[in-house]
Amino acid sequence: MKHWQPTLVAKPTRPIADVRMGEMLLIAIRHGALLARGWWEPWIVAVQRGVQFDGARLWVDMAPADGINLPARHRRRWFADPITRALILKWHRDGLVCAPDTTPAACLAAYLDRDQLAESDLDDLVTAAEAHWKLRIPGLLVAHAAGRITTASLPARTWGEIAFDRVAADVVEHRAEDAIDAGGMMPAVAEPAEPGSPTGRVRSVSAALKDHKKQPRGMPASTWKANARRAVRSIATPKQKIAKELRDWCLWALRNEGGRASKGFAVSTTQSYLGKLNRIFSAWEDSTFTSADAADVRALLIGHLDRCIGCPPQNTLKAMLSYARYMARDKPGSTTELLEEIGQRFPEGHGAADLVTPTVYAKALALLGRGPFDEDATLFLVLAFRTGARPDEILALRRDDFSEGKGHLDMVIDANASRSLKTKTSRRVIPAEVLLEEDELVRLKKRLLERATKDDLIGERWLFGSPDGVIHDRNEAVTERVAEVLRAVSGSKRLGLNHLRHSCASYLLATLLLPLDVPHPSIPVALQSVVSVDRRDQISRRLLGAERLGGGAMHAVSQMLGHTAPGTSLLYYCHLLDFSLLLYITRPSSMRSIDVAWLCSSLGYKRDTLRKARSRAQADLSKPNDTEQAPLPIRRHRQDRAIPIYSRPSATAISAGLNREDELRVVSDLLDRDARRLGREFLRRSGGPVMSAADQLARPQEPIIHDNGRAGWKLVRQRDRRLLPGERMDRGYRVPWRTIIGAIQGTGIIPSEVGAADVARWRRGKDLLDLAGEMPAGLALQALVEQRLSLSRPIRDAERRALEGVLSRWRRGAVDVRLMRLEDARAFITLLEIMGFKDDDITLRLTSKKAADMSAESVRRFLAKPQASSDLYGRWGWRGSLVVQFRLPEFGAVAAPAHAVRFALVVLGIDAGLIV
Amino acid sequence: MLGGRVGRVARTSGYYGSIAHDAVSVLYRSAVEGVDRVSHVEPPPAHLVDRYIGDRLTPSDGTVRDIIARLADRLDVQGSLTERHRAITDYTVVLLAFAFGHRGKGDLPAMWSIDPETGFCWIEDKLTASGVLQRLAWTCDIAIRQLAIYHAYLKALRPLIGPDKTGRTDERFNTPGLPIFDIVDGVPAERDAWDVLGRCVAAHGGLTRNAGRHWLRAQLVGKCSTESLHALFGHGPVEDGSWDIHGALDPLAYRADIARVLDSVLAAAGWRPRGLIAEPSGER
Repeated sequence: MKHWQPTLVAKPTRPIADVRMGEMLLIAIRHGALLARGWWEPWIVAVQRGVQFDGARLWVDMAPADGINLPARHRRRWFADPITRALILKWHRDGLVCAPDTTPAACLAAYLDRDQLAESDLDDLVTAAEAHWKLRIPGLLVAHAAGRITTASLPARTWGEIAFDRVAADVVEHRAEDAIDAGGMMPAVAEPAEPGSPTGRVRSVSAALKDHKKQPRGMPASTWKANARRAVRSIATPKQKIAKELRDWCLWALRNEGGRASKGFAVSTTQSYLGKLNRIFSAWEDSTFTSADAADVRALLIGHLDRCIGCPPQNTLKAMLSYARYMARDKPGSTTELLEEIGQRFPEGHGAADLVTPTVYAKALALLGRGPFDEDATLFLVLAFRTGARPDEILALRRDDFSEGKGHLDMVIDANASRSLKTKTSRRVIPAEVLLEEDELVRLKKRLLERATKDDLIGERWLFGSPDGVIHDRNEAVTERVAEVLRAVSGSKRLGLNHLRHSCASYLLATLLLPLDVPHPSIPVALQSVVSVDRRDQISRRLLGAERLGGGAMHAVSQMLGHTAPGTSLLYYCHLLDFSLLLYITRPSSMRSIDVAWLCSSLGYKRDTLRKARSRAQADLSKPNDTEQAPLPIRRHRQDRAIPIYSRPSATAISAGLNREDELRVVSDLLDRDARRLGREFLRRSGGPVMSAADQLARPQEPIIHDNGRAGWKLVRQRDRRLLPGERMDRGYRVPWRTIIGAIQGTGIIPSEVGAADVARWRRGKDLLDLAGEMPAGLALQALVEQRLSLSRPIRDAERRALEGVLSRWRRGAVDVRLMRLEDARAFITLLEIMGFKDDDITLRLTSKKAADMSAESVRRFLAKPQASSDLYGRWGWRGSLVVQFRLPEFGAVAAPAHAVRFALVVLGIDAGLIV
Repeated sequence: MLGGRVGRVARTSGYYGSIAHDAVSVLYRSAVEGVDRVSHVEPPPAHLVDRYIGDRLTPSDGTVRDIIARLADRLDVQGSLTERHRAITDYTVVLLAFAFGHRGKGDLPAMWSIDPETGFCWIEDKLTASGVLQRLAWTCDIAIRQLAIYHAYLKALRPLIGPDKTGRTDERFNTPGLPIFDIVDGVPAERDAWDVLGRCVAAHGGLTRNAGRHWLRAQLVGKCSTESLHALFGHGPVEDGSWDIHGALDPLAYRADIARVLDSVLAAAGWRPRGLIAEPSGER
């Protein structure tokens, strides 16, 4: 079982969907490093419902299945390797859907034509695949692929912004995010709602804690906590038993719990946990509460956990643990079982994470500069984003914490009068000159110079604070300003200062993990300012050393962040491991051999296709290789695109006669072509980069609206034109008619980019034209409309005027297409051409009696050269008008296609701002 | 170190850098007396000085050439089956021990335990309290060709051994690692790499069995990245090594790094793929 190979399935005896799904899964494990067994089931669901494709990369976002000890909000992204990508695209092309109760084991068994597969078989499969990848990709990424690293992937919205270089990749996700923003959690995974108003009874305690939330500068932590306890104690004893109990817990936790600087929880932690416990206890009637009964409390806490969908938040669990310890203060051991039970509920990973994208960062920088503290805020943002230092560490920097010399600019994070270090390992030296961009360095050096010139200062020469560097009291103003700008620019209420640190860590690790043997890795444009080969060379030389291969990348990132161990950075801060894994599994030197016969059969290649691919590969090989003699440790690839050249063929491969280079080159060539072909089809069918197989026809599209600068002119760019690499925008713009239908009928999802004014305009246009009875019904007619709205280029002024003339007539009650002016007639014919009408689709007729018998061809000739026909074109112009009729005989009924075309013209007019 | 954050790796040099080397040696000797048989204080005798690099753990190139010459000479002798078998086994084992930096314990890799696409194999030659340590080694061209010769020899040898009288003959030929055995009275007898290295290397002027490992490291230092050396020799913290969860070393970059020098280093010392001068025959 260890060496399962993809096999040709001649006559599948099982459901074809299961067989094909099993084939995809097996290939995804072998070639796409889908090694975590717990994620196979979510993968099957996601492949059918949530595939996203940007023209080159195809990925799925998976939610944890039952049984995976992860928060329900946790998401994991898997990027497809080229072979699985082709299989998935083909799956969607064929419109297959598995039965809802299909399991991974059943699919694999169906593909391998077995009755069933034992657990040991599946384990063998994973073991063999993992052993394979261990020899080809770094151990860090093997652990990630195998699910041993539970770092959350980026939210779909953020990755969508990066991959598609735009905002709001997925409207549904966007709205889900907004729901999270609004309520803190998605409804499906929220903690159970509790009745009543719990805040009232602990409000005074909470307020007292809030007053002491921040530790005063210079005050020892123990004194600070003692003051908080004093404040809580000074509050009159609450009459309600539960409130009294919670107040007593606060006093106990502030004194006895584990704290970093001194014994006892920090005041802010206590306040946060108080809120959690209060919410849990709100289910309890005050009259029945008695703290002495541990069994009741246990039942309450466990009952709350049981009602949670998915893993409960960590802070809730920590609050419960603390309360259980508090209960056992007098009777040690009395809550052992409860503590164990809560401890088992802790999730293995975190729910969600987010990053500040380079685009958001750039916009935030551009926005800063108008407020009173914006100079400080800008510098703070730069240092936080580039160095990943904690906000407190940045704000407490002094001039003397920077040292320059020999092209270096080191930033030393150390304890000083303003703040202490979080841990001992927080003390570190950060090479600012390689992390900051040139203009950012100039800004920093300018500030350092300003502070350095104040020689007569008596004080610390703070980097932030009053211009003379003496006073250091603007911390909150600066951080609040930056947080406000980040929220405004990103449109997410959840994005905060700590995400700057996450961003630095994620981008830095992704940079240091770039494969050394791929000269031009495929990095999304939106990331190229922070993750690039040049940046890797620059940073790794400083962080790792000139001759290093990057093995210590994770340790370097960890030390940069000041963590005690690399595990902390890996588990909580690095969210682009899925992308790094993609770069490794798709690099030529990691590709494993594949049975070309199977590939051809599975992807439907004809014999001739394979022969041509081999010829192309042979021709490619015969070209001179100008980098072959380069004295590089790793042979570089000759071209930018991924050519599967083994970095150094082993002697065994040579002695075994494996011409791997040829074979992989052929496979790569076939897959590249296949991705382009199937990708175009996928994008056309799905109407965008997101595919939902079950409801792809009913699903409204999400348009990208580009304002071209003219008032009232909003066009929607056809998304797939932009996504297919190497293709020009030769088909221009396309109006998302399904979205418009949804908008004006009040059904479907209206994308966030579509404003209320747009919807009102469309609805007004529909009302004006009384189009209710003219909505094209049937998929074929809808496809016709869609095709006609795929313009080969943007319409020009003359065509716009002609369309306006036609629509004006319709508005006045006419139903035909009649052009009164020669220029309009010409322009309208051109408009029909760019809408994709062929000559046979339309009938042209001149209304003049002298042209009664003119054929369409003659009419066209006349329109092209009217002066040649003196009968119809006189001194004052032409006589009569041009009538255009539509005939699309393949649709059968005469009226229906005409209505569909009419509808298409109306939609074009509405979107062109002609109907308001 | 200057910043006060002395990592585990730097701690040794930090401590030892502040004490005179002689004093350190004396302290060390007193600590390991009775355990470590090799003297790190007294220099080797004058007639052996040119046989080592530094202390007596690392043979000089001349010493390695001597070892190779002795092993190769035995391949050319038309002796009995037992002698010829020992000759090719010894040559193969010592060559592989040098090429892989093998410690001598555990199995040497056989052709079937080497990944045919990458040339990598996992070597387990160190047992610690936490279990057997694994390291990833790349099979250089000289080693793979020697293995091919050895496997071809074993294939030719099998019919000469005759029926499986002891019931363990097939077992000796089909081991997970490299089949190493002796032939006594025409029957395969137990033998392992530890024995071979003890006889062919350790007996040679007081070297230890892992002399090839020390020699290889001395040869590669300065020619490869330290990360590659750590990975090849399996150094580094237990459970946080080059291929563990925090390791970001790319195996193919590591391979490319050591592949540049490994064959040339071995070839310069005189190692080359060798078979018996005569095909195995039934003569005893």
